[in-house]
Amino acid sequence: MRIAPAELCLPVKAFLGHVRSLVGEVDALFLPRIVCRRARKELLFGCPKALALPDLVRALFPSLPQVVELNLDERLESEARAFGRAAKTLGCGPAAGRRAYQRARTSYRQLAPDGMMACSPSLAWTAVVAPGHGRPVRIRVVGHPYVLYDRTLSLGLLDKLGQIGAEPAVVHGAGGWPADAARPEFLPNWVHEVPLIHGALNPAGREPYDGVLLASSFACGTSAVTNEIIRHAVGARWPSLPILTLMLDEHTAEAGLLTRIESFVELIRLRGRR
Amino acid sequence: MRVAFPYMGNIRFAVGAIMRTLGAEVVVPGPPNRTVLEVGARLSPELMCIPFKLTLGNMVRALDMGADTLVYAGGSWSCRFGYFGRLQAMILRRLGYRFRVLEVRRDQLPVVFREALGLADGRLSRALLRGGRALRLAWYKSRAVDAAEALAREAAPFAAEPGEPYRMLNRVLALVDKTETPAGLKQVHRDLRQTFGRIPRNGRTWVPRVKLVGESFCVVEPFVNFNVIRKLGEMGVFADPFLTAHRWVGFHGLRLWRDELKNVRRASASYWRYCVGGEDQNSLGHLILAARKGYDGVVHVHPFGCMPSAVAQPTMAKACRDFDIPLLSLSLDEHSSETGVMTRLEAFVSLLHRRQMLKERTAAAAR
Repeated sequence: MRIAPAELCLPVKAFLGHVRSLVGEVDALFLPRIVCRRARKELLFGCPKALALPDLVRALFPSLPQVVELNLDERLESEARAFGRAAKTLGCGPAAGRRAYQRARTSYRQLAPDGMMACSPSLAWTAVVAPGHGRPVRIRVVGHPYVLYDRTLSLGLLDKLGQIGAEPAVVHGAGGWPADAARPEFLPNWVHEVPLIHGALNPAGREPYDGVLLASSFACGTSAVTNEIIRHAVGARWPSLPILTLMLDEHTAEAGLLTRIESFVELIRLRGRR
Repeated sequence: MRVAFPYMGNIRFAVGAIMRTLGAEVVVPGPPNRTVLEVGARLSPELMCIPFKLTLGNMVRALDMGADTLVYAGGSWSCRFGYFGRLQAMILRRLGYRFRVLEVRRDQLPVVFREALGLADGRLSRALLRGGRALRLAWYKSRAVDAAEALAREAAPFAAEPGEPYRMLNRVLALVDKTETPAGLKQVHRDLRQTFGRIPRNGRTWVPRVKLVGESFCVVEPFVNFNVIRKLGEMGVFADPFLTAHRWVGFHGLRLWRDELKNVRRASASYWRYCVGGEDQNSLGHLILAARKGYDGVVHVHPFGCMPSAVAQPTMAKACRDFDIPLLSLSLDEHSSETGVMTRLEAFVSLLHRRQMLKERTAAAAR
């Protein structure tokens, strides 16, 4: 927090703190840069902050170990070639780089067959819903996985929801829009936002939910657009579905967070959605 | 068709000329003010940037004045700017307004072309002729405005009467607005040097030179940046923006001056690898080129919450340290106060004068 400009979002501040703790402890820093990915015919871009992380690190840290950048820009080259370049920076030849890339892809497919954004949240976090509250209130939680599944950054939001008798469902989706989904007005071409919008609006094959919780970092620019799209679509399709927006930053207090989610869950119970 | 487009500095001269010549009626909601900003801020998501909030307020005013078609520039890339049109349309329709949206973006160009053809009653030859005339008129208007703005900026620190260059500029802009032929605009352009040359001078021989960089809307729209260029001029500083309305239309609309763009990107390459939007690379490149040309300081204006600007700030600070050039960074939103901005500018100008004084003393001691 002390290193970073105030206007950066919470995850980037955490990232910079992490870099600071690693400088002096490691020989090389691996810094990926997701510029652009192809998804069928569409180009999906990374968030501007994430896109500039290596440059940000170079500006803030006067001395760094070797920086190994992975620039994933599928407008210019394939993922394989991008990894090959990163491997070359580490002194690996093309054959060794290719083998390492193939092994990484195999491990990734075993962990997340449909891609990381579509994989089960149970890989990162296990829901424990406290008994004694009757049927759990089902809350569709929308937020970036790198915040939601980090107990420090999210202040244990998902655990807290379980403790008050709510069942949080974090869903990241992909693909089309079935008939019972809410349709977004438009889809922004951001790699990390499209799955959130799909997950928030698409109940197909899943249990119906009682409320939506939008958990964003303060100063997250992409969330400002995404949350508005979700609010608009949910309001049009399910006008009486309650929506709560939470802003998370380094000043967020646990008490304040708990008050808000308790009130939200209580409101839903009182409205007879149990 | 009664069209409106986002109000951003003096782009209205070029863009309005294009729309009128194509056959549309142009609704210009007038320069932004506090009320427009408050309306826009109330209707916008809280963490959207001030360009979004201000242009949304302007579009509400335009719709209230009878506009039925909103024209936006758009696209899909990393920065949010490309989605302004779609997001504002969503908000405005939810309020109950009825209108069409024309987005000037790559995949919508056939739609834009069909609209232009519709304005020409379906006649392709008439549409093409009007298109050529529109671009030609817009170019001469924009060029005349740009030249007048440049002369006002150059004259401001040396004017005996501080406000006179900008009063002269307003008179010239009114004349450009009324002039509807390329020949007339060329004549206005030719007379500019003589017009501004008549302004009495204050006898100064040296003034600090400051490069203004940052996000395009904040640099080009004086309401958002509290007229920083004029204020610096009246404080006796030559403020040179990297971007003006004319250059914005040229760079982004007509894809001109590619060599300058390459040069700027080459200058920033060692500090900033990718363009993420918000004029990040351009600002950094112009900052470095200005430092190399001996400018005395840099003022960086950006919206609060602008993602590219937030992440570029440390890099700009590093570049300024490396080139030993002072940097003033101004983050602007609907809560920014003119007093706060003035205080910062005054302190910055004082610092520039002090550095010059120390430089002169060091040079004198060396002799």
